[in-house]
Amino acid sequence: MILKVTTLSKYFNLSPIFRDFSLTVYSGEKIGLNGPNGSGKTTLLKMISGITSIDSGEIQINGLEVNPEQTNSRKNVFYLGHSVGLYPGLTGQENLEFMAGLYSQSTSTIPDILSKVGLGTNESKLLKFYSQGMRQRLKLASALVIDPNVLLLDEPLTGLDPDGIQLFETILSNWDSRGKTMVIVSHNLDWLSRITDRIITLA
Amino acid sequence: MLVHFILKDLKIELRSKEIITSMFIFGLSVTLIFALAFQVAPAMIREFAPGLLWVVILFTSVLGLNRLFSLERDEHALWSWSAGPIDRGTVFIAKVISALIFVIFSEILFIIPFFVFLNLPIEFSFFQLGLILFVGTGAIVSVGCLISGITLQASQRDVLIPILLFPTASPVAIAATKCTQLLFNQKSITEWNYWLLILGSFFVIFTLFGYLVFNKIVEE
Repeated sequence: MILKVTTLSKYFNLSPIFRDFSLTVYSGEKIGLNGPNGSGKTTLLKMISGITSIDSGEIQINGLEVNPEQTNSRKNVFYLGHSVGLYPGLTGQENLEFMAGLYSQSTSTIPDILSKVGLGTNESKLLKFYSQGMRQRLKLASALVIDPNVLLLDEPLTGLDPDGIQLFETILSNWDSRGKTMVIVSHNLDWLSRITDRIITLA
Repeated sequence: MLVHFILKDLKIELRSKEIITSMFIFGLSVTLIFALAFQVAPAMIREFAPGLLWVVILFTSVLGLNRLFSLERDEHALWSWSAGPIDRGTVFIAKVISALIFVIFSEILFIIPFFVFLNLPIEFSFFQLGLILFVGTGAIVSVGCLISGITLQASQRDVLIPILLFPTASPVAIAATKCTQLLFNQKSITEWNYWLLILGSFFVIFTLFGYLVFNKIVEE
């Protein structure tokens, strides 16, 4: 097992989003998360990645508890959120170099990765001038640079054109063949059931 | 990692020049307003000038800190490091150093017009003025970075930063004004070093406190 959520509770303005929620995701497994707006799909991914605090319970990745002091637990996790989560004032290449530095990864692969996601000609363009689809591709590129074991993907198809969706599915199958663990949030139930091993619906 | 974050802030600022330009223009405008509003005897201006200088620095710092921390809010850029395998306290220290560089750079730009417009005599040690400016600005930005971090996720942060910073930084402004006033009156450093120590204490304590609590305060 690689990801274990035990009796997790989270409250917003005293109303519970999660109460004693538990989840176990095994190594190499692909989990789909589905549910109506406000059911806590994004919040759950953000709690697993350490962006959002939890009120009670425990989240463990590879046996290490996720908390602000435990930096090692976040080493193998990457959250690909609905916002780009990168700096608009930096170019695509500079953003990837920044991410590589955070995760102590080599920057030598960045030009190849940018070409692979179709941003090879836009590497010197500032992120603020990227379209929504290009931002989504850059997020994918940052996941490729970091190469984590656990990927938390929040609506990964948002803003992607048909070519982008095809590219994403190619990357996804590559991650799958390399045994990556994935938790994917999407409203597209058909797509989720096609690409994941099991789906959890949050109420 | 510390250098990684400072270089990132410097790179963004060198490209946009938003922070230093806005701080310089604001500082210069306030200096001009003070110079035109206080048409009094030179001896009086000399007494007021240290206080005016630190009011300008405090106001311009708010402007710079607000923009410096907005870099992390735009496009949720802070997710890149808050979900990353790094000690978030390092980000706080990097922010203090970046803010110190930006505020001191803007001070260098508006300090000459400040002396010219207010017609102040320069009969003191530049090194000692530089020391006061460095330690005083450090104390202001360390308090300011902590408050900017606390309000990072708040929806009304633009309003909250000055509301929280001005009362918290008032002992810093008072100590810095006293130092500068005694320096302008050509007093020896031994007569104002305890005020400098107060500034240094604020700088060190708030920087260390921010480093320790930043982990928790940036969580959503």
